Amino acid sequence: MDSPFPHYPVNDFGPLMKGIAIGVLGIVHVFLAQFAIGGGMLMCYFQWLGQTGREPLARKFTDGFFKFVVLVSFVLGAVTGVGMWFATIQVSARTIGTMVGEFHWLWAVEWTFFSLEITAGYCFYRYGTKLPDRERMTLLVIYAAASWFSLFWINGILSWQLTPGDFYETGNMWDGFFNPSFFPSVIFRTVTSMGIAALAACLVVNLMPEMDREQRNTLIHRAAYFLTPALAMPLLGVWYFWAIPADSRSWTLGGNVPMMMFFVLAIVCSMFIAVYALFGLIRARLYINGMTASLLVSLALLATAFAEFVREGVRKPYTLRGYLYSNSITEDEVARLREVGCTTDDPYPLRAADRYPNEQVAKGALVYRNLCSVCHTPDAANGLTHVTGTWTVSQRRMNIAKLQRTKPFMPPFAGTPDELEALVQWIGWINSGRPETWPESNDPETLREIQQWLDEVGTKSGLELLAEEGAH
Amino acid sequence: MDALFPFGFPEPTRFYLALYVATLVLHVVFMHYVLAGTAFLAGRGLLARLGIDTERPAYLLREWMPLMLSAAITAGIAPLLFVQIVYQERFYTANLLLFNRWMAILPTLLIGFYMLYLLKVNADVLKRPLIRQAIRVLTFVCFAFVAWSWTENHLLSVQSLGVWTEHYASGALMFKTPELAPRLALWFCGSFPTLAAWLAWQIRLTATDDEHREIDHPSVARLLAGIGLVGLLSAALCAAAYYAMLGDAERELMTGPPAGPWFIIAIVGAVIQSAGWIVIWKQNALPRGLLLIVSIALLVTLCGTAVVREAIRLARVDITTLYNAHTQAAAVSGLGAFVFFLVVNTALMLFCIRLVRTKVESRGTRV
Ligand code: HEC
Ligand code: HEM
Repeated sequence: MDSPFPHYPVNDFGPLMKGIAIGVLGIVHVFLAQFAIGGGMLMCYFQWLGQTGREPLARKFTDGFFKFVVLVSFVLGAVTGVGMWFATIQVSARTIGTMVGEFHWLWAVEWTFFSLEITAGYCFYRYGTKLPDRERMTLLVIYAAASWFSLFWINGILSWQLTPGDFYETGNMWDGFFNPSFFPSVIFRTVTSMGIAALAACLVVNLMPEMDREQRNTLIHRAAYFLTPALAMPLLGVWYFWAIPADSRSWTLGGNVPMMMFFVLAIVCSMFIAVYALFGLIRARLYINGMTASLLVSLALLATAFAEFVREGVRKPYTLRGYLYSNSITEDEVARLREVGCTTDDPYPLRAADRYPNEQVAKGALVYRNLCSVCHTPDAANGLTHVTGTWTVSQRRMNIAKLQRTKPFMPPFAGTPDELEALVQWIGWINSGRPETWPESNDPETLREIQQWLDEVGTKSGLELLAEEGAH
Repeated sequence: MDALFPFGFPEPTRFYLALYVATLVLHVVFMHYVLAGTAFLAGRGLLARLGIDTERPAYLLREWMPLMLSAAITAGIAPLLFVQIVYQERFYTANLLLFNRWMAILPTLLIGFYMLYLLKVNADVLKRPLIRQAIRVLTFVCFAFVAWSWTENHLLSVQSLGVWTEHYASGALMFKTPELAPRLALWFCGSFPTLAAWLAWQIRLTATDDEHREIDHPSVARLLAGIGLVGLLSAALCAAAYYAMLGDAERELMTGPPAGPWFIIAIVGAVIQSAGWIVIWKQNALPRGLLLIVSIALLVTLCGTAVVREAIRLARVDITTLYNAHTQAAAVSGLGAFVFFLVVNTALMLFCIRLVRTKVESRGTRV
């Protein structure tokens, strides 16, 4: 993992932060994948209800529901899965590259399970109605187990990003895989999958023709039992939060306002669904019509969205904790980049370079592109000019020089004082409405001052600084 | 690099390169079905004008296409994994340079996928001939676009840093190079012999539903032979055109020790396939033994072509600079787990297929 710094061409996502672009796709993909996983289990349950004579309607439901699962999850799920991969490359090629390097065999394992899932799924899809019960059950169990194992494998890799455990000490891939948040997150996601599948089932039951209200009601209440494990979510949540690093936890508990908001919203949405399931569906045996079912599914999608946002967010400033920052620079490279600069070796020129008033501002744009653009835009979502709008020039210099102290979820500044000054001038230029001309600032005193701030704060991550101070 | 591919490389590189090529062939086998199959559906109106009956293959294609597309995508994930190990930075750089134009393959795949279901639906609006034909053409266009994207991305990934930075600075959406047309045409034409072999097996192995029962093999044997032969011939022409366009470095590797033997067996495979299809034409039947020979020859051609394709890339990429990265990748654990689950899950897949074949059959309806 000590390859020389790879310079990739960086794209401009317009007014969106890159995180948002990948976030939306990620939410859709996670939701669909969890629906497919829970769907597999739910169908095993219904097949059992049917073949043991407990529920005569169950078989009809299984066949109807499975068509739906295939149509949605094989198609949308598979394509958005590939999409996640491509989107991750767009946001941080180096992150996915490192993950592929470390875990490619586990991805290959996951691929064998995915192939099995597709095979068993299609066999059931095409021939399920012509098969005896025992064989139907066999196919469904294989399908459900294969799809759950996809979750199992991928969960290890993704949870490793935030909680690498002993991985960097031992270098053993399995230490990274069975990391501290592996079990809480895999169980949490399993429970979520069951809940999503149950809600989707309520929706599908309402869409099924030739069924009267009484029959629908019966099926809906069967499906509702899959929502009960969701009641354990608060406990599982606590377990998960206990497993992740304290600083990440603190972002959601007020350290970062949007993150805390999303966290609370995710909890509220999930609790609403769980309470409705317990009291409305199971205790009071209320009927869910298509409208209510859609509403509940949307609520689950929202909960997923908020939760995914938090999960992506709490990794900051890293994509691979303790190793790689969000802006694709490793912890170890910061010191060297402070000497040689982050723009020096970048072979990719600025696009439309002639729109900048002078070379210094142009360089500032490059520094922004390499160090900040993964989390900020110039003047739209999380716009750099907005977050620094009220500051004096000198405040900007100091707060950017001590970036990891300004907010510990930002990486340390990884460039020379000269580059930092260029960035500050670029921000000032945009704040002034991008005028045609702009003076270059070249006061050696300023650069000396910046250097001093950089030296004061050092090259360690903000999290480490906080931890050290906490320990004292 | 004087030894036969993949032997002329240090161990880790050889290993990953071989896996990459092998899994790519798997992808190609399914991808060809999708590409040529949707082209066939879009163009079958023309064949109908010539009085050729295409009902049976068209029915099979509509029925099987969603599964085959799933298979093509799933099989594509494996080479996608290995290409990221063998040529990581190049692959990512091409992805990033093409940006939105590259990401466009995702919505396109989705649209194409759902169009496949539309082809099967019998709603009244969809029965209007013009709408039917529009759906068929659009479906094909979707997958042709995806094929074009992969070729374009591949060609961009083997360029020099100078070309990359120039491309980046220009902000161009597409990467244009004269190589693109013959290369893409080769992929397209080459997909028809694969389609013909697939269809022949599907016709032999699947039951004819009631409405299709009266159509017997002979009427399709000639059609498939025709598809195979036209595909092989046109692919050979594209290959010649592409070869003429390549430089000395590429030709040296393609015909020299590393890939030359592969080149030869690719040609031999194509000749055997042609001979096989000619016999099928003459016999006007799809005998099992002959199909087996044609299919093996097809696989040989595909493997040979995949290696020759790699040789073109190796002529442009200094792979020695990547040895280190491959060695590092090979140092991680998990290979054992992969082999174990590959065996178990392949067995389970075969079990599922066997279960469906035996159990459904025993109830009277053949699969
Ligand atoms: C890991 C993602 C990330 C990176 C990389 C990053 N930032 Fe930030 N930055 C944030 C977030 C998140 C906020 C907080 C937004 C909020 O709280 O509303 C923020 C806030 C700020 C603020 C305002 C701080 C305050 O106290 O109000 C400044 C200034 C800033 N960033 C500058 C930069 C500069 C300059 C760079 C590049 C050198 C950079 N950031 C790189 C994520 C990042
Ligand atoms: C039906 C849709 C698809 C079609 C028609 C298609 C077509 C192609 C073609 C023509 C190539 C060869 C490119 C060249 O050598 O010039 C190719 C390569 C490849 N395809 Fe596909 N493909 C499809 C879907 C996919 C998907 C979904 C994936 C990933 C999951 C994938 C993975 C790959 C990989 C990894 C390569 C090798 C790329 C390289 O080495 O540069 N394909 N595909």
